[in-house]
Amino acid sequence: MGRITKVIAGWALGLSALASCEDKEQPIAFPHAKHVALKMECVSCHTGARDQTHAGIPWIHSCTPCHRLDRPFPKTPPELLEYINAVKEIPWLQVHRAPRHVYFSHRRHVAVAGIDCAECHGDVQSMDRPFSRPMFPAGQAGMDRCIDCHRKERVTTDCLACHR
Amino acid sequence: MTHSAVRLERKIDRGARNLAAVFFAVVGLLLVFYGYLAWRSLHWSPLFFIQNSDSERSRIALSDEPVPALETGSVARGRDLYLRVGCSLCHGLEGKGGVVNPNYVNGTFPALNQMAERLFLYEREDVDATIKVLESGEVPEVEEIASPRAPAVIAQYQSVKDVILNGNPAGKKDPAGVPPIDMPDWKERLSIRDVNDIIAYLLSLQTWDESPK
Repeated sequence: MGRITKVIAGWALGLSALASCEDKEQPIAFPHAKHVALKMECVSCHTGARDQTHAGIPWIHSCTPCHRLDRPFPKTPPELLEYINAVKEIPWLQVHRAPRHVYFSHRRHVAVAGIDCAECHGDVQSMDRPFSRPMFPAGQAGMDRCIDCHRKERVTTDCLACHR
Repeated sequence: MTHSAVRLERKIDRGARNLAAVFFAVVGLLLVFYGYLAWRSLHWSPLFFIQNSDSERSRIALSDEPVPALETGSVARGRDLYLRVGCSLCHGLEGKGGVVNPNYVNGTFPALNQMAERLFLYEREDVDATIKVLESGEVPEVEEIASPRAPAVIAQYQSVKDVILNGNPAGKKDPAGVPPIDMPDWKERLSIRDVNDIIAYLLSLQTWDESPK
C-alpha cells in the first residue's frame, strides 16, 4: 500500500513539476557569458546572495554604469536602451523559485557554507542567453538533490531545517 | 410451506449471507489496513532519515550569527551602498578589483581596498578616527582630522569625492581601440553623506599587519 501511494504521489508531483517547467522568454537576451568574461561577480548584480534569503534580480541601475546612451562601447541592445531611457525596470521573469513550503536561504549557502553559485545554477559563465527554465528539478527530484548534497556535506537533513 | 416459498426463503438467505459476507470482508480488510498503519506508525518515523543534526557543519550553518546588513553606522551604510548602487560591478566585491575594462590603460578597473593608504592614513587609529568624522555626513575640515598629515588627508578626500561625484575619463591603452569605460558621475544619485559612507566603508577594508614588531 505504501509503494502504491508513493507511485501515485510521484506521478502527481512529476506532472506538476513538468507543468511548471515551461520555457520562459525573458524580455532581454542577457548574455551571462559576456559579463562573466569581464570577471564581474555574481553578487555584484544579484546583491542579496550573500546576506539575504533571496539573491534578487538586478535593477536597471546595475546596467547604467556601463551601458550608457552616449557610449558606443559596450554595445547596448536597443531594447535595453529603451528601458534605460525610460528609467524603467526590466520585467525579468523569475525562473528559480523555491516552493512556498520550502525555506531556502542564499545567505546560509553562499556566505556561511561557501557554495559556489554554479553548483546549483549550472555553468552560467558559458550562457549566452538568460535562464528560461530552472537548472534544478522541482518536486521530489529537487528535494532528493538537496538531501544528497546535505548528506555529502554532513549537514542536517532535519525536516524543520527547510520546511518551516 | 410450499416448494416455491422454500426456494424463495433459501434465495433470501443466500442473498443475506452474500451481503453479510461482503460487509464483513470489507470491515475485515479495513481492520487489517488500519492494523498495518498502526504497526507501521509504531515501527517507522521520519526521524529514521534525519542525519547530521548535531554535526559541526550543522552547528555553524544554523547558528544565529548577526547579518552584516543589520549593523548600523557609516561603514555598514557604505557597504550597503557600495553593493546596491553598483560600485562593486566595476571595482569588485570588497573593492578588490579585477574586473576587466576593455582597452583601459591598466587593464582592469582600479581596486579600492587600499583607500586608507591613498588618504595617507597609515595607522588603524587614524582610520577609525577619520571614519568617525565621516559619520557626520558633512565634508570634513582639516581641524577635524586627528593626523599630522591632516591637510594632505583632506586634499585626497576632496579628490576622491570629486571623482565619485563628477566622474573621471579612463585612459586608452590602444588609441585606435574601443573606448574604455569611464568612471561615471554620481552627483545625481549620491549625496555627500552617501559619498562619506562609501569612503568610510572603503577605509574599513584596509588590512593591517598584526604581526608583532
